Amino acid sequence: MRLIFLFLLLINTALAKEEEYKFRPNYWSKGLHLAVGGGVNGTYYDANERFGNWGYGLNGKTDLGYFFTNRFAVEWSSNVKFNRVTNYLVFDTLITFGLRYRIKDFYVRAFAGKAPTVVFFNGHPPKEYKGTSASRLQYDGPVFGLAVGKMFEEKNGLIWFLETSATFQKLDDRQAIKMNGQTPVVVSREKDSSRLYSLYFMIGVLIF
Amino acid sequence: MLNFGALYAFQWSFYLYSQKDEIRRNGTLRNWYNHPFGPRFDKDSFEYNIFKHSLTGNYYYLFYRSRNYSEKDAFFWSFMSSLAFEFTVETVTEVPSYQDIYQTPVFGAVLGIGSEKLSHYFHAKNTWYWHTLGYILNPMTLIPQFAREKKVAAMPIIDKNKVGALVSWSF
Repeated sequence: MRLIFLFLLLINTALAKEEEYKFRPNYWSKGLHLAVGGGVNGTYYDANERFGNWGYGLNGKTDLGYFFTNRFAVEWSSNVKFNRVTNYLVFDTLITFGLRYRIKDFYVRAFAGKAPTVVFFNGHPPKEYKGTSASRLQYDGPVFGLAVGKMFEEKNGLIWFLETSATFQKLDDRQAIKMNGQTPVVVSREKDSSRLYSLYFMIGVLIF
Repeated sequence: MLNFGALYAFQWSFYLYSQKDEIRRNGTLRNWYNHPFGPRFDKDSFEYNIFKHSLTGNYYYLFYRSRNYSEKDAFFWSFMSSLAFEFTVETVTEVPSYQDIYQTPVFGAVLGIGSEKLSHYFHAKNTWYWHTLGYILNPMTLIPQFAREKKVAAMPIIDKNKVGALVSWSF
């Protein structure tokens, strides 16, 4: 919560002063910037044989950054990832705080946070959930990641980027969920030791 | 602040109307003042967390844009409106959700910027059907600019023993 309020303070500060110069890939302007992108990902699921191996899918991300200098920024990000793994649909939301550093037109990002991971059974529950009312599992745990990207500028001033990133998720807690009308209800809760390793390739734009 | 207040009043009205069954079942005053201190990750599916919240944030953003806020100011006030809803309205039945705190204003602003540009594109074609489509995408532009066009003016009157307001409306 403290990080969220600190970020709100930064947003407010950013709005109070005008940017002095235009954002460029090789010279960032100070203040608040929002980047949005999308792409593909591949994820290796090390999940105790409950659901298996490799999953592929699409993902979209947003990075809300406060740029302190022309090289350095702090970010609050969300990366929403969809994956198809055997019969299951996996919906992941990586909410992270991180740092971004520029080297010429390139940048590197390091981030950490939490990632609720939801696995929809789609009518094919794993063995231990057969016969229960649960329709999905929700895992919770920390996420850590690194990214490398390059920014480009078009003649019309549009800034866009290509980025590749890798994340590691530690799923410590597993909850089986059933729906009661529109309300999700937890029907069982257990400790877990699953791991997720993901690689992403994304393209996106700086929207302000 | 007037725009924030108007949107806040709308948020309460919409919540009380759309969630009346849920409020009757699970809503308490105790929730309302305890829940703001325990935000957590929610267990909602993507149709809520991605689509419905982005659409809500889109309307927050378009509302402030239609009141002549700059892109960044509209984003900031969308954020404040979203926080106000999460921490002071919805807490009657739910604890604030980290996903919603971030995704409603941020995804909403991304969607809102797109909706606004597309709506301008449709209006520029200048036929009734393209205008209609433009208004469907950005209905907030239909809200009259009362204060800006000087159609409505209000002046508070505060005296020792009374409080009032003088309101004028030109037609």
